[in-house]
Amino acid sequence: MYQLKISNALVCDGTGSPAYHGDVAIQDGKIVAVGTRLAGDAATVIDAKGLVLAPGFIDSHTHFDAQITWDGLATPSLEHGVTTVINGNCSLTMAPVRAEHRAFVGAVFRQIEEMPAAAFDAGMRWNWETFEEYLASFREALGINVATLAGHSMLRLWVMGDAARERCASAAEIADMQQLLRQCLHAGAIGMSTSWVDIDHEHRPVPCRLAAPEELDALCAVLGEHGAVMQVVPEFWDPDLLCTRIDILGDLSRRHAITVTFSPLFDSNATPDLVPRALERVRLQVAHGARVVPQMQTRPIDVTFEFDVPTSVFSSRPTWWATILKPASETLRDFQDPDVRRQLVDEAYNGMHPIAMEVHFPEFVVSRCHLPRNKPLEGRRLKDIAAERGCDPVELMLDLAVEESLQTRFSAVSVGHNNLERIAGPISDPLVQVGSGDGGAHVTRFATYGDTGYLFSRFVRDAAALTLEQAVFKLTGQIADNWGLQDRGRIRPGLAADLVIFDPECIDRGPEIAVEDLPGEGYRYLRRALGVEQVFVNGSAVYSAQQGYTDARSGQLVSGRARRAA
Amino acid sequence: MQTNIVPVRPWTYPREGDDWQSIARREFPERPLDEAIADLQSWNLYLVFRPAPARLTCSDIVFTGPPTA
Ligand SMILES: [Zn+2]
Repeated sequence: MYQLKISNALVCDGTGSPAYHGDVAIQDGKIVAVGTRLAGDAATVIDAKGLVLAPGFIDSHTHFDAQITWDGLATPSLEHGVTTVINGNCSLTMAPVRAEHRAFVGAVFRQIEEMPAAAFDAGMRWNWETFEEYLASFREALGINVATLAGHSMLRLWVMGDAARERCASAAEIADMQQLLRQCLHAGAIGMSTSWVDIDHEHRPVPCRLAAPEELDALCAVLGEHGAVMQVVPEFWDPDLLCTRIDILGDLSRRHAITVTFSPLFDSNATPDLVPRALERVRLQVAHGARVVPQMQTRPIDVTFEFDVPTSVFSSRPTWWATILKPASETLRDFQDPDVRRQLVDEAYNGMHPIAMEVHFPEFVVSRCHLPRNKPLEGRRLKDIAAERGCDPVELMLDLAVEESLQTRFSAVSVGHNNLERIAGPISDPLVQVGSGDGGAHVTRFATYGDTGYLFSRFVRDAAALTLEQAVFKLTGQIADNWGLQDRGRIRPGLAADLVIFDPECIDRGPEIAVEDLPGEGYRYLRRALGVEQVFVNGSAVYSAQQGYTDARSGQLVSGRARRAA
Repeated sequence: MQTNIVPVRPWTYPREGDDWQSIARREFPERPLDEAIADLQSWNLYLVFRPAPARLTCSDIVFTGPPTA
């Protein structure tokens, strides 16, 4: 007698091979039997007729490093069918971090990942220093599986102190970093993350960017000893720079026999030849024995903002940037000053676009109004409202912001990575992994959840760029293979019973909504899932569309090849 | 493992303490310094226009030849 049997499902087993109608039996957290008609009773039988049963999705690029310490479910990941999140990307982790660096690390994380300070401070207990202590601090409360990378910036900071922000490392310091990385890998890190582009809250390069090539090479040697992976953020907006970085990654991969993955592979109207060129370069490196894996996100870039802090949307328009950077009272005054307004309007229409985005002000959507009388404007584009009123859309935005004391929320929708025709090919390319979603980050700017549902709705159903089976493979088996998560990502006896039951005709992401569920004050943006019926983590039901979350805390710390080799 | 993959563009890493002068001297010892610096800068606008306090770091790519396109 099995504990659980899911029967009559359309089984997509995570290998990409054709789906079949069948049953899956589960015992003690593992898949124990799979077949077209399984004999044997079960304590619980779930009839999944008309629904797909797939391995739980793996979200390979997330920043739940802080959130996971107060929210062991990494909400709303599970609702979307995600049963494993990979944290610690982009060189930033919450460990190993010495007590004296907590303030700095917090500031950098909040800057780069756009996490509100109030939530971060209210949520973070910081009752750890080492990587091992960090993992131990939340493992008992996990409802989702978590794999974590060690951040290169944190290794530097631990070994070099503040000098990590200033200079290259000495040979002795590099040796110490190697030793520290070994400790992280033995504690359960699945690899290391680094960055060639990120800047800290003081606009200085993050510590890992001050590493000389010998340092990165030495750390990759340690990853090689342990069969661990490396994730990196390259200059993703420039074809020559990106192709050169791909070559550097190819060399590191071959020299140390490691898998390296970079994110994001990002399409933009400014450089329509970037993705094809980068892919050609990856193909060349792979043909020469390298394991270089580009990660591409499924969703386009949407940015929601208020005029309280500057967002990337305004980064290439100096007057806007400078005005928004000022204290609110001064921003308000500037927005009403005729000379400044003239400049702002002119820049809105004639200014440069920010890196990798195309920002058209009249297309901005009024997403939330503060005053009741303005509520009817919500959800409408500036240009449509302006046409009705016979005014200029940018002037309208400024007036609205002034009228509501800068509390109006606007959205720049689909400003980058939005060309379905150009993206459909690369995203279905076997060399490309679905990822770069950034779950847990940018929470006050846009929702980083639901990219999994969006893969099915846009690229399977709308564009028919992928089959159902291929899409499932891209969210499960392929990521498990690339990251060395050997006991997950497929429906096969002996593997962990991470499973999702969904409706292939309607799985999708819901609309972006603001939710006040952070510790402390404040809201974040998220998306609920559509069409995800039930989710199991290590054999336990953790979420169902009918009943929401259960009390099960069956998530585990997931280690890669590194831990098993140790 | 060495491969015969030809770089998309010639490039180098900066060394600790480098500035445009020292890179120009090292990469183009035969050329007039001002000319070499002007070329280097025109090939690396992303570094030239990098706003302070960000700066040249040892992990940056400095192109030593013109763009491909
Ligand atoms: Zn990231």
